[in-house]
Amino acid sequence: MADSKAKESRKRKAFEAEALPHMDALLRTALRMAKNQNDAEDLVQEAFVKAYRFWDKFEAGSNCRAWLFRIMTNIFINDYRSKSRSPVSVNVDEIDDSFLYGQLAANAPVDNPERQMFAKIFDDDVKKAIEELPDDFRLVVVLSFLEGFSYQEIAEIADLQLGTVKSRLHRGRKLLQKALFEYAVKNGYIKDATK
Amino acid sequence: MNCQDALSLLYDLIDKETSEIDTKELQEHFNKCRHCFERHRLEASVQDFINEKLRAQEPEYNLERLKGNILSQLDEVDAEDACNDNNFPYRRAINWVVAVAVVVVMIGVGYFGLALYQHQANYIPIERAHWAAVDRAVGSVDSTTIEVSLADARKQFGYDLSHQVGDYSMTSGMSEKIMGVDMAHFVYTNNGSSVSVFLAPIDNYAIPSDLEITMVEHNGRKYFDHHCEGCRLVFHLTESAIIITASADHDVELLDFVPGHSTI
Repeated sequence: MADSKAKESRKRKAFEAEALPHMDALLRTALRMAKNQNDAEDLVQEAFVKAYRFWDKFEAGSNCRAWLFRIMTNIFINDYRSKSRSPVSVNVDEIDDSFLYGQLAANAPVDNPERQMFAKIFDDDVKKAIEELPDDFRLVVVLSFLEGFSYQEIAEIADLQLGTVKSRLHRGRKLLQKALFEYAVKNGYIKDATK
Repeated sequence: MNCQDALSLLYDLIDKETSEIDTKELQEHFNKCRHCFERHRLEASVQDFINEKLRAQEPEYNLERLKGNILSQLDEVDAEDACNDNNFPYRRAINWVVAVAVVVVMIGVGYFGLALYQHQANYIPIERAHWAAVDRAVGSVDSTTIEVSLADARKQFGYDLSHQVGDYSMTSGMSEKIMGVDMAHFVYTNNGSSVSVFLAPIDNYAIPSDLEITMVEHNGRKYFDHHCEGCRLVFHLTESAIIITASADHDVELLDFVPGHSTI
């Protein structure tokens, strides 16, 4: 039994040293993905418990952060994703790639026209715009924008094809830009710009 | 690189996913094309804005409490693991010990079972015959059958059994098949205590070799004594017969019931 205990504490030490420091990042993403703070905390806790149980499956020296995100993403997709998964009805393809560019160029023929728009976007608007993205898009957007994972890493974390990651990220980005522009307009951007 | 190529790689560049060559060519294109330069600048600027807002939105969070919760859940996992065979270090060794123990126990049970079986097969039929005769004889003495049986025994084995041994009187006499052999069977009773005397032809019946027996010498004669919980048996060999006396009453001196003429 003494050996077993020593082994346990060695495992525990390694886990606390390598995995636990990623708690902030996991929580940050969980807060964007889950519906509320409680769910986000539960998601992080579940991810760590599962990771600890499977710690011997983790290859030492490989990317621990990506491994933890993969575990958490799995739990999220299986247990936390919006129960009413209505098919994504957002018609992303209607949005032109250069939608924002066109709008800004038309509205403000000045240097750095986006600055005026940014001034009309509140912190809460960005948060809402992200929250309103469909789950599948939000996941890749958060993993890319917030966590800075590469396309390849996201593909492994979310178990997607590389092409799917790119297309979801692209569409998520367009939806986000459109939403932010609309928030800016709502907050009076056009009025100011057309003066 | 033309504008179409440049725009198709725009987001890859912003996400830092373009190759070194593509990155270089894109920069060269932006130097030449004002439109694409401005488009990239704008997209990158929007991206920076979103990233900055996303990161700035970290809510005030009690990370220590969350960490505490996680650690206590890890404690639970540790406690589970401590009880879990999978993580027990000597599991293989223990498996082997258990396997060997099981084999040893099975051999033991088999050996003991075989011994018990043989013992029962060798001993039980005689005890059963004894009890059956005792039951039959209760309250009914058929002197005709006894006389016929005594005459047969005298003729077949050369033995003359007396009607009376000490306080015991002969209450039945018959011929019956026990363990495939025709035996003469007499029963003496006294006040609820009974003794059976079996006479078996020596050519057809032998004392089972694996029966636990003790050799007893009495008045210069040899007897083979077998004690069981239910019944005591005494075997006595002569030239013409094997004489078996049986009683559930351990106080009876069975040797007294063996008729004379022993040659051993």
